[in-house]
Amino acid sequence: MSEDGPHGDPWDRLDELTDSEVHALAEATLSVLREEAAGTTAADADIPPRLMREQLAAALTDEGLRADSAVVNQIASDGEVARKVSLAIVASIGRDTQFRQQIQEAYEARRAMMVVDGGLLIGAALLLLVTKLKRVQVEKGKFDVQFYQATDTLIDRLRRILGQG
Amino acid sequence: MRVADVSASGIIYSVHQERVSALLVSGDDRRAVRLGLTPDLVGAADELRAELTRTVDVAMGRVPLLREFMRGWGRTLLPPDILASPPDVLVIVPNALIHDLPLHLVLTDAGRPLGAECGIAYCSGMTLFASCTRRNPARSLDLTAWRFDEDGAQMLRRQLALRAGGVDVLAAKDDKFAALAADLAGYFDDERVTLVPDTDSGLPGQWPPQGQVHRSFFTSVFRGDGSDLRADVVCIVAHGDLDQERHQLSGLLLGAPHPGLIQMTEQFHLAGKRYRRTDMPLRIAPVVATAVPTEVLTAAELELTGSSDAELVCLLGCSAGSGRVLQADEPASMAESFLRLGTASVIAPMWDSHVSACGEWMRCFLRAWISDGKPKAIAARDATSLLMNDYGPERAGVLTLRGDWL
Repeated sequence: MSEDGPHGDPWDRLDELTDSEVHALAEATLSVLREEAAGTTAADADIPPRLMREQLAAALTDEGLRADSAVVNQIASDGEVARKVSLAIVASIGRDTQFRQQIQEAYEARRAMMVVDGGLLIGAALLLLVTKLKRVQVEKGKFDVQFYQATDTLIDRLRRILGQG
Repeated sequence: MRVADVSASGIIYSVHQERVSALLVSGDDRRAVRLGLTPDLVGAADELRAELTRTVDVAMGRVPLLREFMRGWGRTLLPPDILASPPDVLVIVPNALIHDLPLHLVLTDAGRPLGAECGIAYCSGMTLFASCTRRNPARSLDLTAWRFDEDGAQMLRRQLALRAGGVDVLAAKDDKFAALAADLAGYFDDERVTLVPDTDSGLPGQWPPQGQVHRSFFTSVFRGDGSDLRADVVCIVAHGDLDQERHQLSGLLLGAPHPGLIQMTEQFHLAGKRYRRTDMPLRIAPVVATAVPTEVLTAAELELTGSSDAELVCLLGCSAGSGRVLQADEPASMAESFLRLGTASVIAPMWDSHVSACGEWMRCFLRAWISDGKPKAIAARDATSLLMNDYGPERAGVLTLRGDWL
């Protein structure tokens, strides 16, 4: 648990976060977005890894990226890429102050749990959720224009991370 | 109240294709009861388990399915008379999909969680429960003389040897796990406590390394060779690491000797023969940035070389009591492994746990068990009841007692 790790606001030191902290922040973001999208198909959790990779490949292709199995495997299995993808998403979503606060609360609660992070797939799951959220109609109406713009920017960053930009 | 007068019931589940049934045992009475319909429960149970594996949602108290279980379909899994008038103690023996369901959180007719109204102990099988009771040193006490909850009653004072340790391998400083272990040790008599980390104990080069929260320290505690580290009560506070694919490799993240230190061999007995092995963990630690060298103490390692005659083992690490059901209806978890090693009772979380809530629950439990002389299940009831005042069920009900209730 680690209120004891490096201290301070994670948003101020995104690039210096440890992999565990990145994982916790991505998990917190995933949880907040799922909560916001509750009741939509985008909020479906616990998708089997293989299905998630297929859905992610389709979603990225729709966004104009080359997304063959090698690219998706890179996002899901390469620690460095997963970290960059997670941070790019977190930074994009965190530009919204309301989301930022909710994610921070979830992050701090998560860090007080007696568990270590669960692997790399969180980056891929987060990316899939974000791409789905671009298309769903969220009843709460909280995903405003700013969110869509942030997501567009995110896709550009993702393109660069994957060497397609 | 005399312990001999405690009303203890047992509920032994049997899941059939169409319906869940149970045998309700109370004293000499045996009564079969018909409970919920199996097809209605399968999907809901699976979704509830999935919800409880989502760490952030649990941390934030976003557990709608747990709340639905507590007030809704969970009630179909308990006999109406138990919900109307809970006994002092209820031993729950689950079966099939009932394993790992938090029945102690089901709301009684009074609107309180069952585990806040009666002492509950889970045990995965009847024979395991029988062996837990047979091995429990508390059973050899005079139960007619053992009193609690009475003004002026002579409380039972027992001299229990404790081995305790805590380490947050992710924390570079201000280790709250170590502080919690030290805090819990305060409920025991000083001269019978071995607390790690303890920088004053141990000699350089000594094996296993003394005074440190190392995996090898706890394998020594549970080694069946007459080790002088064996204990009545063991308490480990550490991060849990759940291996969803190979459950026997789930474990607790503990410290490790510094790289380069030669590890010794240890002897162990298997099927009547003596073997020797290098004292190394059976699996590598997960790739996370830890502040100290880290090893995993796994259920598989304990089952291979360990044994325990401890009366109580407390495993305060995430999901140490969560497990997948294997063949022959045997759930695999750290907690289950300890019961099979010979421990009479185990306290462990059913899902990911919050360190401060765990600490509060344990303090309340130890106060009731050690200081007030209550049976373990009654002490667990007190702890759950108290925490329900301040926390949601996902925190107040995460720790449960397994094995013998006394």
